[in-house]
Amino acid sequence: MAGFARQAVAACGPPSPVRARSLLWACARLGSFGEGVGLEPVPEVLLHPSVIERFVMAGLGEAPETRRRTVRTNLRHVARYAAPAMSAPGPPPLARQRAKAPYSPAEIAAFLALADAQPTAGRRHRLGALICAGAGAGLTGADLRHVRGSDVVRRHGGVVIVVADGAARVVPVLAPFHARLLDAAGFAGEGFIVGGRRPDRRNVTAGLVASVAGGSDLPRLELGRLRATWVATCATHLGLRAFFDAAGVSHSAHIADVVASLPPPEETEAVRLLGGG
Amino acid sequence: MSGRLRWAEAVLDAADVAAPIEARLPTGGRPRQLSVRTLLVGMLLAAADGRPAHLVRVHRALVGLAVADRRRLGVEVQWRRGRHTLTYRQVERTFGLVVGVLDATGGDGAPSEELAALTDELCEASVPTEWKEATTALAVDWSDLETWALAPRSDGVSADRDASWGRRGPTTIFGGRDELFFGYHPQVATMVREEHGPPVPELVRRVLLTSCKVDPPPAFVAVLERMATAGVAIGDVLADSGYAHRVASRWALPLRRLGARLVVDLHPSDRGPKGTHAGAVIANGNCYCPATPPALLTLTPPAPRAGAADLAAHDAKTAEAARYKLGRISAPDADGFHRVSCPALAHKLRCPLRPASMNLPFDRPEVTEPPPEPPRCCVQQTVTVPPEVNAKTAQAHDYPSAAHRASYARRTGSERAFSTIKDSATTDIGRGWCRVMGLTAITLFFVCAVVARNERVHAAFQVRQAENERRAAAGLPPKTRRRRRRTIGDLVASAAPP
Repeated sequence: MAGFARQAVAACGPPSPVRARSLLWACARLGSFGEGVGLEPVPEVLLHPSVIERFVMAGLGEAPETRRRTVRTNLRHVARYAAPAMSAPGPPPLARQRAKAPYSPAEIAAFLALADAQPTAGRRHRLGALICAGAGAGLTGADLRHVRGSDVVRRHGGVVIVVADGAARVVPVLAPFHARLLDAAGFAGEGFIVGGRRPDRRNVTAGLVASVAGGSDLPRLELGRLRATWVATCATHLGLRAFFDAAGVSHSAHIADVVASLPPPEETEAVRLLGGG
Repeated sequence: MSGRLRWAEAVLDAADVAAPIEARLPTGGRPRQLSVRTLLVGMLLAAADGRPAHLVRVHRALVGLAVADRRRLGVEVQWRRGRHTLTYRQVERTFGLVVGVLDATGGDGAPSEELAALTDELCEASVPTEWKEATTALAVDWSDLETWALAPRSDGVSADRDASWGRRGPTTIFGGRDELFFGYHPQVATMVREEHGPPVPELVRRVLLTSCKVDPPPAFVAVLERMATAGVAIGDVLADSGYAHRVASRWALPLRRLGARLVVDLHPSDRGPKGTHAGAVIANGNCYCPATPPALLTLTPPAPRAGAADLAAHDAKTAEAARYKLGRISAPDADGFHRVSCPALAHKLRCPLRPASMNLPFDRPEVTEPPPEPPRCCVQQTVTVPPEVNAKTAQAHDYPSAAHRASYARRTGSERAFSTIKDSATTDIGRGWCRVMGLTAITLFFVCAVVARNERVHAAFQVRQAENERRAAAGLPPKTRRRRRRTIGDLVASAAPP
C-alpha cells in the first residue's frame, strides 16, 4: 500500500510537505480499502472515480462528513495526475441560492400605504393581510393559502396565527402588524384572509401582488422577501448576530442541529420572544 | 437388575439383532449355553465399564452379574452334575461362531451386508427416541484403528488378514508428519445440531470399519444411503477436505442425490479458479463474474488462531467476493440443473454492460473494465448451470465465508466422537484395546464401544441440560468451560516467592 500511495502522490507533485502528508494519508487509506476488497493496488484501478466514491461512502467507517469531503477532494486531485485517463470532468458548478434580501421598514410602510390605497375594501384587507402575515409572521405562500380569518387570534397578550395545514405551527405576529392583521381577519371571518374559496386554489397571491406592482420607486412585492424581513426583525430582537459572532460561526447548519435537540418552547414564551415589535 | 444391564438389554432388544444371528448358528448336538444375545450383552457391559475389548473381559462382565441375572441370561445353568457357570472357552466358542456367520468380507476389506446391518441397527438403537428426529445434520470423519497383529512379514502375510497399511495424521502439533500404521479406518457419522438449532447430544448414528486399503469416503456413501433408505432424513453433511477432495461421483454427487447439503472444507487443490462456464469463473463452488478481482477468487480460510481483526478483514473480503457471485435464482431440478443470474442484475454491483445497474449507489463495487467481448453470462438474463459444474465443490455456503466457518465449526462433533473413544480414562481403542483379529471381530467390539460411548454422552448431556435449566431459573448464564489458558501474568504470579 505504501508503494501505491507514494507513487500516486509523487505523480501530482504536492507543493508542500503538509499537503503531501495529507495526500499520502488519503492514498494509504484508499490502498488499504482496495486491498480489503481485493482490488489491485495500482493507480488505474484504485483511483477510478467509482472506487473513490465507494471508498468515501463505505471505506471511511464513522469518519465525519468534513473528513469525507476532504478525502474525496484530495483523492480526486491525485487521480487527475496519477490516473488522468480515469478522471472525467465533473459537472459545472451552479450558483447556490442565497437568502433573499429583507425589505427596509420604509419599504414595508410604503407597501402598507399602497394596500390602504386599493379601491375596494376586500382588496385592501386581503393585501394588508398578505403583507402583515408575511412580514409580521413569516408565512409563505403555502401557509397563507390555508389561513382563515378565524385562525388569527389573540393569545398570551399578543396575536398568533394558527397554521393548521402543511407545516402546522402557531406563529406569533410582530406587534406593529397586530391591528391591521386583526382587521383583515375580522373582515375575512371564516373565509381565507388572502381570498379565494378553496384551499387547493393556485396563484392566490399573484393578483394581489400585481395590484401593488408597476411603480418605479418600490421593488416588486415578494413573499420570500417578506419572510426574510420577518426573519431579520426577529433575529435583531433575539440578538442572533451577536450570538453568531460570539459562537464564531457564519452559517446555522451546526446550530440548527443543536437547536433541534432542545425542548420546544411554550407558546407563551414564543409570543414573548417573537411577538414584540 | 442393574441399570447398566437394563440399558444393554434395552439396546439389544430395540436393535433386534441377536435373534437373526442366533437362527443362523449351527444347531444339533449339545445345546450351546451362551446365546448370541447374552454374548452381546456381555460385550456391551464390558464396553460400558470401560474395559478393553478382550473376550476375557466379556466373560468377567457376565459372570460378575447378580445371580438372578446370571440365571436369566444363561450364564449360570443347572446341569445334571450340578450348577455350571459360563467358561471363557464357551465365550470364545460363541464369539467365533458369530464372527463366522457375519464374516463374508471376501478379502475386499469391507464388512459383509449382515455385519453392516448389525452395526446400523445397534447404532440406531443407541440413539434415544426423543433425539432421533432432533437433527438431520451429521458430521462425518474417519480415524485410525491399529490392529493387535504385527505388521506383515517380508512374505506379506500377517496374523490379521483383513488389516492393511494406512496413513494417519501428524501425532504432534508442531511439525508432525504423517505416519504409517497397520489396521483399519473407523468412520463415524455424528449427530450435530442444526445450523441455527438448539444443542443436541452428539451421538454417533452410524459407524463403519474398513480395511485401510478401502477408500473411506465412497465406502461411507453406502452407509449413508442405507441410512436414508431406512427413513432417517439427511440434511447437512459436514466433512473435511479428505472427503471433499474425492471425485464428485464417489462422494459429493451421491450425497446430493440423497438430499444432503454439503458443508465441507475444500482441499487446497480444489480452491480458486477452475475454469469457466458461459464465461463465468468457476471458483470455490460458485460461478463468479468474469470481472471479479483475482484476489477475491483465491481466498483461503483464515488461520485457526486468527484474531478478531484478521477475521473481520477476511470476512470483508469474502463478503466482497459474494457481490461478484452469480446468484442462484432457482433450486436444482430433478436432474441437478439450476439457473443463476448476473450480479449486476441482482443489484449487487455496477456494470456498464448492464446500464440499469449504473444507477445503483456507489457503495456497490463497479466493474471498471468489462470484457471487450461480453460472454454469455454478461449478455443473457440467466445462465443454466449443469450438475457437472462445481460438482465437487458446491456447498451450502460460500467458501470460505463467515457463514461457512460458523456452519463448518459443527464438524468438530466428529472429532469429539473419536476423542471419546480414544480417551485413556474411559475407552481407548489404541493398539492392544482389542486383541481379536479380523474385520468382523473388531467391528463387533468397535460398535459396542460406540454404543456405550453414546450412552455416556447422552447421560452427560442430560446432566448438563438440567444444570443449565437450573441456572437459567436462577437467572445465571449457562455454564461454560473454564478457561484454562495461563498467561504470562499467571506464570509470573505463580513463580513469585511465597
